[in-house]
Parts: sequence; C-alpha cells; structure tokens
Amino acid sequence: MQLHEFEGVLHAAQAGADWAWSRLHDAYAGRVLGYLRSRGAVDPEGLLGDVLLQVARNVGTFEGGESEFRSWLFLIAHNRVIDERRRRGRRPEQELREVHHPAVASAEHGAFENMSLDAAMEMLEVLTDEQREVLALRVIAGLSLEETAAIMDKNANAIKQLQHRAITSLRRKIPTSP
Amino acid sequence: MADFNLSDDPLDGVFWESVMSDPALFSAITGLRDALSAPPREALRSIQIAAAADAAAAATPVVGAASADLIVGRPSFWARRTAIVSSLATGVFFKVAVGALALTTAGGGVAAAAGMLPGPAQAAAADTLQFIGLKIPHPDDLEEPIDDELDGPVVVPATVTTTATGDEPTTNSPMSDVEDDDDQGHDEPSITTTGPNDEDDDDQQSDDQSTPATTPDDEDDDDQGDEEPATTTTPNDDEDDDDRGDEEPATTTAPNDDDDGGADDDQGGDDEGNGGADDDQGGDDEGIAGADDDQGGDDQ
Repeated sequence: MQLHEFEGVLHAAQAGADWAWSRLHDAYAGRVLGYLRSRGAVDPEGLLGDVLLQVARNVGTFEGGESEFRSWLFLIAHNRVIDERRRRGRRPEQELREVHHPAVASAEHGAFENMSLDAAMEMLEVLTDEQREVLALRVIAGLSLEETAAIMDKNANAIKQLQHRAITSLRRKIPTSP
Repeated sequence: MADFNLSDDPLDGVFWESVMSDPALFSAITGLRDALSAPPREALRSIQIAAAADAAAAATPVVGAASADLIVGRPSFWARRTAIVSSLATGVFFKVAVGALALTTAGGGVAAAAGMLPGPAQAAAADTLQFIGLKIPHPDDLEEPIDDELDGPVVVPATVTTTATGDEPTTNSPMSDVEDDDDQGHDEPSITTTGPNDEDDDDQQSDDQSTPATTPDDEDDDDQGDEEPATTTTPNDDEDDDDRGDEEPATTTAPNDDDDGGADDDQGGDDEGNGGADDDQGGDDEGIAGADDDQGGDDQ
C-alpha cells in the first residue's frame, strides 16, 4: 500500500468507512492471523477480530504512516496474545500441540511452497516462543529490527540473536537438498 | 522475503542475505509465512470489517471534519455539533416553559381553590373541576353565605341587645298598654317592642303557660296578645326563618325596624301594607293561633 494511498484509507477508516476497513483488512488481516497462529493462539480468528476492534476504537487518535500503523497493529496483537494466555493459564507450547496435528515436513525443499498449516506449525515446534515471535514479526509481519525490538520490549542485539538462533534451528529441521 | 526491512541495520541485512541465499531455507521460510498467513474465512472477514467500521464510527467525536466528510450521507462534524447544541438549547427552553406553565397552573389552582378568581373564571373552574370530583367555591356559592353571615350578626345582636336593654322593667308594659289602647299603638309599640316583644312574647307566652311573673301584662297580652303576638311574631319570623322560610324578606326588615326606623316601616306597613311588616302582622293577625301554636310548639 503506497503512502498517499494509505493516508486516504486511514482517514476514511477513522471516519468509519466500510471500504477503508475492507482495504485494511485485506492488507493486514492475513499477516496478523499468521502472527497469532505462530504464537499458538487457541482461537486466532477470534483474536483477530479483537485486534481489529481495538484498532478501530483507537484509530481516531492514531497519527503516522504505514510503517507506524503496522507496528501499532502488531503491538496490539502481541498484547492480545498475552491476554489470552493469562486467561487460559497455559503455556504456548501446550497450545501448539493441542491445536495442530503433528505432520512431517517433506524432505524436498520444493514441498515448502505449498506447506500446509499443520506442517508449518510442526516446523515452529523446534523454536522457542521468543524465537517464534521474532521470526513471525520479521518474516510474516515484515517489521524492522527496531520495530520488532520495541514490540518485544528488548534491544536490537537480543532480537538479532533470537532470529539467528531461530534460523539455525530451522536449518537443522530442513533436510539439505541432495 | 521482499517484505523484510533490511535497510535499517547492515548486519541484519547481511544475515537475511545469507538466509535468502540458501534455497531450501528460503523456500521453508517462505512456505512457513504463506501457510501461517492464510486469510480468514470470507464470512468472518465481512463480519470483522463491519464490526471495525461500526466501532470506528462510534468513536468519531475525535475525528476531524475532513475525514468525516469522506463518508457519504454522514453529516459533518460541525453539523452534528450544531445539532447537538440546538437540541440542548431546545431542551432547556422547553424545561423553562414547562416550569412557567406549572407555576401558572399551580397559582391559578390555588386562587380557584380559595375562590379568589374573577366570577366567570371561578365559575368555569368550579364547573370544570366538578366533573372530576373536585369541589371549589362557586361564585354563586360565594355570594349567599356572605349575605347569610351578614344577616346573622345583624339580627342576633339586635334582638339580644334590645332584650338586654331591659324592656321588661321599663317599656314592655307601657308598650303593651299602648298596644292595648288602640291600633295606633302599633306605631309606637312596634318601634320599640318589635324586637323586645319578640322575646318578651316568647318569654311571656312561655310565662303564660309556665310562670305567673308577668301576670298583669299577661292579661293584657292575652287580651290583645292576639295583636302582640302579631308584633312579636315578626321577630319570631326572624328567628323562625327555618319555619317560615317564605318570609325571609320580612325577617330581614324586621331587625332593621327594631334598630332604626322600624316604627316608620311598621306604620307604613300598617297603612299601606308594607312588605314583610304587613305580611308579618297580617299573618300574625290571621294566624295568631298559628303563631301561638308555633310558639307553643317551641315551648313544648
């Protein structure tokens, strides 16, 4: 979404225009849903609705561009995940095992192109919760190092180490091509 | 991987460059992102969009006029604020108007209950409220009691005072003598004895039947008691308004006769049959027995 286009959509969304919220939903709902799934949310789609409602309630006071809006959006998603875990009193690792059936990733790297959701969740099981979040914010949300650090309340070097360890773990999981 | 923000940190850029250089790892991470970022169901999408739009619209007071104008059919911020202010002002105006109306109605009700309204207004209020069972003074009701009250004090003190002045020792018997003399005695005796004789006669008649104290006069009274009762029944009429309600005019004139010019009136009444005097006397003349009966009845 271009900058000038985003500003028009944002103003219309602040006024409650359905078309603007449709545009925002198409641009960010999938990413937020991927982040929520990677964090092991029990009801990621329901949590997505909560995130959008929270954004809608406070979008009138938002000021900034598309990058700031995306960072704000995932910060809300981050907080909603924490709230859900507090309500349920469960650890995220347990959520992953309960929600998704185990699946074996294909040894062929070309098979990742049509990876199922269950296969993706199985790949994430080798990662810690923080590594999954860093990977989700960097790869799925497309946030920068500083933006990711701000959401996770860590410094940039900690984020670098976390993402490095996460990629290393994934590399071990993925069979090397012949 | 095109969404990665690699420009903010050189080392971070180098790291992600190495990741993208590994085809297996690049394919795994890309597949992982696409699988996790699958969009929500279409039905859920429409619901979430509508809910978000409604929530944003509900929070529009902080939205500026420019963004509000982007919504077709929605009034601008200034128009909505003007409408709110006007509605508040209208509400205040109506509250003041209702308060003034309530005060006016309450004041009118109090005045109507006290009978202080002008005659037509009081009559209309009385007639209207009578339908709902509320009784307030009617102008017609207000006038009659006043007259009655005026008649009462005038009649009673007059008879009492004249009685108290003591006609018995001084004037009673002479008057009865005068009355005994001739018909002209009606002039003078009626002047003074009309009031006193009323009670005197009552007393005398009661005495006639009970006490012999006034025996000398009683004979005269008995002889011409037919006439004296005629004079004495006049005040009896005053006191016997209930018995002879038809003679109320006579009763009203009789006390006045006692007070001031009753003699003249009585004379005129004798001569020309003036009003109630003639009626009284005539009635008494013709109805002596009746008067006696009444008095006797009272006594009995």
